[in-house]
Amino acid sequence: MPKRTIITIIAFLLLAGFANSQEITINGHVKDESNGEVLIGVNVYLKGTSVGTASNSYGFYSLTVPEGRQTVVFSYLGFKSKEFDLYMKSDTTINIELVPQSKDIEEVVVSARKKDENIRSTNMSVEKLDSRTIDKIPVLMGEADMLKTLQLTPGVKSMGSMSTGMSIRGGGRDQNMLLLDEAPVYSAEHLSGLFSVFNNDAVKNVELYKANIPPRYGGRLSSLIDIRMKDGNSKKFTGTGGIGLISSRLTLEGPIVKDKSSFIISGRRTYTDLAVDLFKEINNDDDIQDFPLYFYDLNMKANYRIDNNNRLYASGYFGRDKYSYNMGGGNSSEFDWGNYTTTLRWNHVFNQKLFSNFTLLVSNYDYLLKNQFSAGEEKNTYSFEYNAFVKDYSFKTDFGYYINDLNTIRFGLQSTYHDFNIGTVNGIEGSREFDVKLPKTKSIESGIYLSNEQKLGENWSFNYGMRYSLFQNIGDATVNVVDENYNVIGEENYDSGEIYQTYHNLEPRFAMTYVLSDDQSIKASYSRTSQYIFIASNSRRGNPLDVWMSANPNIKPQTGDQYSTGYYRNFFDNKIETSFDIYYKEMQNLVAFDEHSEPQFNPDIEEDLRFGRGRAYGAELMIKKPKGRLSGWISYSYSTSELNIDGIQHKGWYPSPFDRPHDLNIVAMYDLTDRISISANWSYKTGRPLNAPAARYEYGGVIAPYYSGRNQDRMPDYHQLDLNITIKNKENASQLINGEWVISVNNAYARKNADALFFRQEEYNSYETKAMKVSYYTIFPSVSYNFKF
Amino acid sequence: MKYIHFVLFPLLAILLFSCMEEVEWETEDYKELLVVEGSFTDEYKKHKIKLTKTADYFSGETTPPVEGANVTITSETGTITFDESTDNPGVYRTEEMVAGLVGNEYTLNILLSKPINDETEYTATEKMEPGVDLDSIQADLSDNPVYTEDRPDMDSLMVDVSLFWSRPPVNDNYYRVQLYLKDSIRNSTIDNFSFYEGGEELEGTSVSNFYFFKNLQLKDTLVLENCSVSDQYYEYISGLKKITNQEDDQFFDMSGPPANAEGNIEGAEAIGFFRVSSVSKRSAVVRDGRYE
Repeated sequence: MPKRTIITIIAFLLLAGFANSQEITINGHVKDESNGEVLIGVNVYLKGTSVGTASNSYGFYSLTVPEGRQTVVFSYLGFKSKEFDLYMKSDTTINIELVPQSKDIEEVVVSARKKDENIRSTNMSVEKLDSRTIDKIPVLMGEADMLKTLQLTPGVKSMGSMSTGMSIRGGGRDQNMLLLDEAPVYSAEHLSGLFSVFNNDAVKNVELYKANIPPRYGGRLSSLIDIRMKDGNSKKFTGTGGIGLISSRLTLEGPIVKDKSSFIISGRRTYTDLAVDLFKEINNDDDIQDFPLYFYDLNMKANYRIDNNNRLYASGYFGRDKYSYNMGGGNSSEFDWGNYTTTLRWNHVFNQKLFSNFTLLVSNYDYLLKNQFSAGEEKNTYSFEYNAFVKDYSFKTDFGYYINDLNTIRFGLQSTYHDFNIGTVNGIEGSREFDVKLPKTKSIESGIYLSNEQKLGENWSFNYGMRYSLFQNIGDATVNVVDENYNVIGEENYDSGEIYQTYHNLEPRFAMTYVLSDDQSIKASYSRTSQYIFIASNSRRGNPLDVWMSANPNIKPQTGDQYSTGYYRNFFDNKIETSFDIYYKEMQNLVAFDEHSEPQFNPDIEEDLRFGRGRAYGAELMIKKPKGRLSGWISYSYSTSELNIDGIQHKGWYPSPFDRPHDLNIVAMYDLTDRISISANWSYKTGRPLNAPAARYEYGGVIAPYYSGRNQDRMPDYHQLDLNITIKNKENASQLINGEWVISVNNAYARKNADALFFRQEEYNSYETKAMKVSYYTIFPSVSYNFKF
Repeated sequence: MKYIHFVLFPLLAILLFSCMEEVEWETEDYKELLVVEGSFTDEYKKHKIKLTKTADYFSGETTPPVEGANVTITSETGTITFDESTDNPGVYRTEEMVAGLVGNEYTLNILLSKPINDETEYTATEKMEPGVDLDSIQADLSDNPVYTEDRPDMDSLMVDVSLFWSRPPVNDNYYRVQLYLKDSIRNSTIDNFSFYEGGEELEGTSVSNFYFFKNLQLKDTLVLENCSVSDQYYEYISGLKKITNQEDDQFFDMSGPPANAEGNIEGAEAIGFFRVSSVSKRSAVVRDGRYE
């Protein structure tokens, strides 16, 4: 499309939007009446019209309406709708508290229209989950986990049953932006992927954007996972907790000053140490003197409402995994890793129409690996200490300008200072000392954006915007010089503060919805994204030693383009929501690793890097019943994901490690009685690709497999059923503590799914070769007790 | 990767519930390819080239030899012809005792009597890189190793072997080191190869490294063979070691996908390596390096 045409269209759209007069604006915050938590995404609309808005991540809304008598409705899933008859002559602030709905009653409220938000909104390919839903679906060992629950939605492929890593619409696992209260979380895994780092007790809700990532976010190609922590009960002091098979949790929250400020503190610790004791017993291993192995994490948040227009939030996450192994006699190893994030935010309402938020944040991921081995004398001591970190300091400001009921303009900027240390190792090997420092990299990643959400007439809505991203490498630095054959031929030094490489990208984002009727619509979107940092690992599934690297003179930033369209339809008065999306995605400058490369601690990592393209397409179907005694969803996707990387032992396009065409999930939750609820989920996925030997040969006295190409075979298909029953104690007002038992069975029919598949030779006869399948677990029953006071 | 193993421990403890079993597996698109294993050095001897073919991965049988081939090595100094061994099918030896020269480029030519992978002509070319002038080696027996995480042979003894040279390898070539006990059957599988890279930091010094031996005793004689090798050979053996020793990584699904080691045989798609080396051999009697 010629540039002039685009400008004309935009000008027309803007003019069409601004042509209104005699209006007043109502604004305010929406909260949960029971605990004072702000509610995100509450629909605020004029009864009988399509005029409306939704509350933002801080519960703020602003709606411009014609003067005069109006009925304003506030409606939110799981809460009783509220409506007000207002005669409005001037701008008004209305702060609202909604009352949670008792669970077994189907909603019988007068809300005309606007319950069909999923039909009208320009959001497409967005999955939203709140902590209550996540709680109902224990995914492993009786534990609820947000990331694993997201893996049950369409378009999200898990990296394995013991991994929280995921591929969204064919993208790599480092292409997902995980934000916890705005702070990026670099490693979301505890215990090598058994758990995610997000404690569900501290989480309010999560939104996953698979297609049109809002322009105010950038930095990753494939998705945005926006996680918001609870603010803390501002009405009364409460506590919740749980004792599970492998971990215990406790959350305390309450007002600091009633209705003005509140706090929440939530902690978790596992006792996998016990499993280790069992391991010792099984193996009769008395040599192990000390073998702690656990993780803990802590979420903390406090907020303070200065006045109606100013609010402060401080939130933090701190979690670590620890493992050490001491065999005595000077032989030990120690390994610990973890994240911390800190976010400070100030919400300021400039006026009825202009909302702003200012954020300062720090995010850090680091690990330390120590090992010592002594053979009795100094000469034979072998020890090393290896550590690495990634650290972000970021400033961000976002404005929401609610011009009128037809236009909402958002703009803002963000700047992040990345400080990456991909590793220092020092130690002693025999009589030699070594002290190797890999070059640190420092960079600044910035972005500015402007977007508008616009309605046009009764049926059209648009969300269009542009993000401009800028990436700068800063000295001091030593950067390898690489020739066209990927050989390091020298190095270049840069002074402190010198900007030695700049990349930038314009990232248009566009989404539109055309409402066909009250219960159906068609949506389409296009988005361009860019990514300047990536995980330096050739592992599909990942491990805690993965480090992040940034673009530099040798490594160009990655870009992605995604085109999606979908048909959205609700049935039975919006009780059932369905959507059907198709997408096509292209990715450029993808970074991969050469065959046999070892990215960890490699000073000449550029020699191992290879570059190429990716493409993915698919169709996703979602049928959802969000509320009622029976709730849940059925999701199915058919998708393909391919890579074409220069230097990989495969010519042309080959299936990416995340290529699993069929993916079906059925999730059902049913309230049997007031006290007993059951849930079940069943998943079926095509087995993931692998390299299997096509033949075998002998060389140098060994028998080796010969592979015919990359990812040309597949593991057996995966399917699994999880069951869960929750039994509440009788609630009694005089009782101090209310509890519930959660009994769950993972993999209920004991399917031996292939988590890994490899080929081995028999020890007694190396000509005897066979295929071995590893199942990390089969049937896994567990029980936990949750309480609140 | 050594570091990775530490990461595996936390998983290991959790995986008490894991199970492993054999599954039926059908190999698709099985392709018969030529496999070449051979070397040519500056030692005065009969050099050997072995030709085999790939076999079905699950056949359970030895790989078939390739007989009736015409094998030669050509260089600027002429052509060396190979004879097929009568008692060892698929093995070809030089007709005469012969030695190569450092700096020369040698091309292996294989002409098959029957085509494999639709091709009868295969070649491989390598240059003989300079070796080292070893003066002596020294072997000191150390205490029993406790650090055996990578070593299934826990009862092995650890020997600290030092190399002393009159002309240090200050270039950046790779050198292959192979150690074996004199008078024992020479164990030449790739698992026993170790490599070091030349460089300026080796100026005027020796290198020492730990090696593990079973059935070793004090006063035994250890033989060390030091070969100059090409970068490509180093990459090839590293790759081969990886694909034959990666069960752990695959069990935990931590590493990148397995890939073939890329050899230097040209013609059609083929497997193997023709190595050209300058060799230096020294022996030493194992001393007691322990203080106690």
